[in-house]
Amino acid sequence: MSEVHLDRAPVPRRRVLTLMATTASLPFTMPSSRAETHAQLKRFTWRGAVLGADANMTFYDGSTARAQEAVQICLDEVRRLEEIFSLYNGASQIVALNRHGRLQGAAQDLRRLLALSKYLHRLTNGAFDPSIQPLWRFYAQSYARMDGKGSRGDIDSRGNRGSRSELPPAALREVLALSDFERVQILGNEIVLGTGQALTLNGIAQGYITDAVAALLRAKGWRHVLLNLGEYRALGPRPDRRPFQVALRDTDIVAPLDEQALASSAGAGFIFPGAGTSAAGGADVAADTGVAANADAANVNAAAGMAQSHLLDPRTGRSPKIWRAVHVRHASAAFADGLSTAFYVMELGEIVRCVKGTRNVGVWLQALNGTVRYVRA
Amino acid sequence: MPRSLTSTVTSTVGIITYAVARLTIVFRIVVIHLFVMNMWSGAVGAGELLPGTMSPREMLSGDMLTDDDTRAAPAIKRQLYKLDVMANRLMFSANPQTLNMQPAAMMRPPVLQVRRGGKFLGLLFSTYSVSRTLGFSGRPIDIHVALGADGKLLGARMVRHQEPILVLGITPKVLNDYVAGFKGFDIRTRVMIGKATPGLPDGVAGASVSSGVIRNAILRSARNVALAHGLFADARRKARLDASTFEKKSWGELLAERAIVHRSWRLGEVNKAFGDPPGDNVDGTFIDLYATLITPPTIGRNLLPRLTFENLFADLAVGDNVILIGANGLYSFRGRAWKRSGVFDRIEIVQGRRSFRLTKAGYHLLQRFRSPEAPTLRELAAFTLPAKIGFDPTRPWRLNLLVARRTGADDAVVRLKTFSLHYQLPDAYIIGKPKLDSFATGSGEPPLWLEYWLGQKARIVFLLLMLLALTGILFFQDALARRKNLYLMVRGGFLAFTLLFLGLYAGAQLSVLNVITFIHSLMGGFKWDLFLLNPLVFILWGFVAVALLFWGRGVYCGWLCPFGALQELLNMAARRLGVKQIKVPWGLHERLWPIKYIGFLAILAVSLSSMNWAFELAEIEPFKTVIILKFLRHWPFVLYPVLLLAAGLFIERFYCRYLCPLGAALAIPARLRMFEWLKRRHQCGHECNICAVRCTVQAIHPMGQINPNECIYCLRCQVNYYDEATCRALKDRARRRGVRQTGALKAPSTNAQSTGAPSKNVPTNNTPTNFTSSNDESSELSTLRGGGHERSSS
Repeated sequence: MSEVHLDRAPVPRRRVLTLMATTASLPFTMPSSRAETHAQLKRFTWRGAVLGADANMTFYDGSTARAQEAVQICLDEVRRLEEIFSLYNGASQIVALNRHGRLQGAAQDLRRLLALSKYLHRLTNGAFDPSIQPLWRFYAQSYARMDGKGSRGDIDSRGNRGSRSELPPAALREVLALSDFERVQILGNEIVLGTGQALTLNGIAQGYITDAVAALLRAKGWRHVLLNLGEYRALGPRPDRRPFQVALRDTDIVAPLDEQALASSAGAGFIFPGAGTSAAGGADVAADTGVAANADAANVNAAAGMAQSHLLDPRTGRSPKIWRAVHVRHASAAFADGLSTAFYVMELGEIVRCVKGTRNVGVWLQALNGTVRYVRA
Repeated sequence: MPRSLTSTVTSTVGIITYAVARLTIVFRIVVIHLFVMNMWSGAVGAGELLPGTMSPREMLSGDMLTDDDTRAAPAIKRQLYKLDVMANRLMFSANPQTLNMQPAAMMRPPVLQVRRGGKFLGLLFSTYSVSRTLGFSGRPIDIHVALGADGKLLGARMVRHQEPILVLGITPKVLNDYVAGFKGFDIRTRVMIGKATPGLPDGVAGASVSSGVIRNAILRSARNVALAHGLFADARRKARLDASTFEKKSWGELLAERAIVHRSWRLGEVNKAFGDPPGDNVDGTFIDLYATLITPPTIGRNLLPRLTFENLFADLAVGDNVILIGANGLYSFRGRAWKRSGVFDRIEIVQGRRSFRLTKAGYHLLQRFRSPEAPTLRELAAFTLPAKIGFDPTRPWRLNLLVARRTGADDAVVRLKTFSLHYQLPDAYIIGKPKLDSFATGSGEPPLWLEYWLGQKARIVFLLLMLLALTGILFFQDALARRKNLYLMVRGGFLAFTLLFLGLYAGAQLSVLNVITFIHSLMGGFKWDLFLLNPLVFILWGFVAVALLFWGRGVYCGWLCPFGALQELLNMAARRLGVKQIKVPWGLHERLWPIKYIGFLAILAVSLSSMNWAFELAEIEPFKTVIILKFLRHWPFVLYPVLLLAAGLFIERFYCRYLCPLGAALAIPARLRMFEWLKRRHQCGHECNICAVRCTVQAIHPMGQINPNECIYCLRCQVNYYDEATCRALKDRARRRGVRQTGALKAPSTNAQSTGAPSKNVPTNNTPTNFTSSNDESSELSTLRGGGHERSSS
């Protein structure tokens, strides 16, 4: 019963609010002449939501009619992939997999995403782990119960605030043992989970969807498009041959994107039922990530039970407070997305080791005090 | 003295009329607000939703609705139940059925997906949550709308609004019926402005802007929601495959028209895609992939050997499709896993929102193509797609080829890449292919106001010409004023045009409510869109704003106000018929002016607490009754303007002088005007009072100065100014010049002819005084010398 409830409850993945969109909105970060050039570029923008997050697509070439047609095609693709990856769609493949522990005839997209997840899991020494879902469920249930008794949920291995001590450690260890992606097997188009295991793709699906849409647009002949479907992805440079630029929220850094993607993770802490707007992450972080500014979305999350997902370290079951925000740039949005999810719970040394083992990755790490460090391979 | 008594009586009658009208209105306000409004909000609110307890956005945002476990508060359950009831009513006209409503959690705008037994019926949403719709009043308007899966509206219900409908005598039922009338409308239908659009309910008479706003709220929100939720991707399917035509075509022709698509990937490309080193055999063919849909006979029969084709299609059901995939190269698209699992794990067909896995059940291994010019392929297979899976042959699809690569020490890490081959059946094989839905979408959709402007092109042009003419009149006012007969013709003609075209035909009567909504919008986030909805009124206001700065408020009141024109024309006729005019004694006249200012301030003050009350109070204006509704109203509403017009027969522009709150609103900033083009002589009000006497609205002080707050800029004083037969100063000057023979003969005769203006009040001081030639600028000062008052009222 509770399992069904949790699977259906809209638990949006960590929201990416750390980025503000493109150059036009950032006169202070660049010469005004550039801003003017940008404003003069003919473009068509679609705005909407994908996987619960604000999304937009800006087309810089082609006619408005063509762009509108492309939007429809992209939305179809988004919906198709949501129907595979979404935990909130009872008919999705991931839900079927979680329910039965195995899945025959998995969609190519699911297999691809799981294969990539496996790669990232190893690359990050387990910091990226889609099999973290049981841990989520455990926390949600624990806090749902505790909420009835009037205490407030708050997970923080360091801050030690809230009611961590009330969590039964033995039960936590038990659940933590389920979070082991190594036990998930991909055999051709059959996927087999270990006993009690369940997957969530919330830390990477947006990136995958972004890539898929980008590939589709590329195939349809689009050359200058900036996508923001949860993660940013640039198709080509801008028509004036300058790279697209994305400003990192709360910094004065502008990341140029040329055929690249930018994914971000930011901690807003956890919001459990009745916990109000800010919890583990502290008020400063909560405000920084725009929970207040984007009240619509945030309220949905808050009311649904818990707000930010995938900020747990699958290895410890805790939510470490290391970074305020992590931004990863890579050619693949899915790759960047997965890495940003993992890096958020990793220490600097680990991250650097990780980045050195990969090609063409750029990482901006914003420490809790706001300073930003750039790490690249 | 009897005259002043009469005028006092008339004025008192006017005041009483006004007071009665006011009292009626106040009474109506009380009654309506105590009873009707409560019932109205009760009918909408208490029964289904409780506006105020929970915003529609909260109700529709979805999070409340999934929590149907024990933790859900009773209030939420109640809301859920109410939403359910509403969905039933909207979709099935009150016939309760079990619906399953799910928030479309992943999408915004927030919308409820309504299903029954798993079948997707449509979407339920609130227009305010989706598009932040504002009403004519500038306040939120919220309509709950049910949109069917086929793009047709299943129902709509007004849940919140502050439109001033009751003031117009329009009952909530009329508005509700209008909103409900959208049921069955296909939101893809293009709305025609100015003409009836089939399927759309007729706008509510007398509330055209409200109707337009409501229509826009429903349609725009529905379109946005439909787009965001990909509704039309399904509804668009009207085209069907041409399954009967056969035409002989060669392999080359089929390839050229892209009935067969083909793409090859080199080894180097694939390595690059995986991020691996290019390798030695960069140019080696990884795979040379062909795909086609052979359901159309022209493709199938031309491609396949006759027997193969017959065999393949023998047991095909209607609606089944067959896809042909062939390949050369190192990589096999079939792989081996299918033999064990029954599912081809390397290939997948993706169309729109669906992916189709190809299974052993529909698999046919083929040997070769029919045509000798076709290449020989290492692998060639046909796959049947049963009709029930929902593959649409007329829409684009793609063949995804999955390639796996193992890396890592023990080959444990599998990396997967997809390579896509895109296919779109050429139009030649499709019957009735529709164009992409013609209505503009998303941010490309033209705003509502633009539709209104385009729909009223002719009127707009007419109005602009009219304003141009008026500008001409004002710029060349001296030349016009010199030609008395021309002036009279222009004046009469213009007023007639104002009344007939601007007022009765186009309904472009400004109202104090425009001022009120404008002030409100300044306080609460100004939006052009709201004002642009009525192009004529918008243009008029633009002109009035400029004219107000240049010449004061009179330009509007005297030239462009249809009701003002009606009063003046009626009064003209009355005079011609010999109706005696009543001259309001100056003292009383002056003291009646404040009424209109009080009226305006009262409306403004009331509007701060309730727009609806303000709308009611604005009934002081007879404009709506006379100009917009053309007297088709309840009798008390008709009686009021009739009395006003009757009063206007005796006291020209009675309403304008004392009651008009719009005039008051315009008069307040009139002091800002920049031009003083109304010419005066320094004898004015001093030695001669004829302009003051003849001023149609008594805006000229007996002492000679023109009161810009009251002046309607009719230019009559300017005509007098240049009329040698009227203006005493000119007459005197003429006499002084010694043209005695002609002047003495002419002057009295023209004077007597020209008007029946009361000459008794004109000071009978015929003695020429020593004055220099006319010097206008000093006139106002010179009139301050006193003594004029006694003279005029004697």
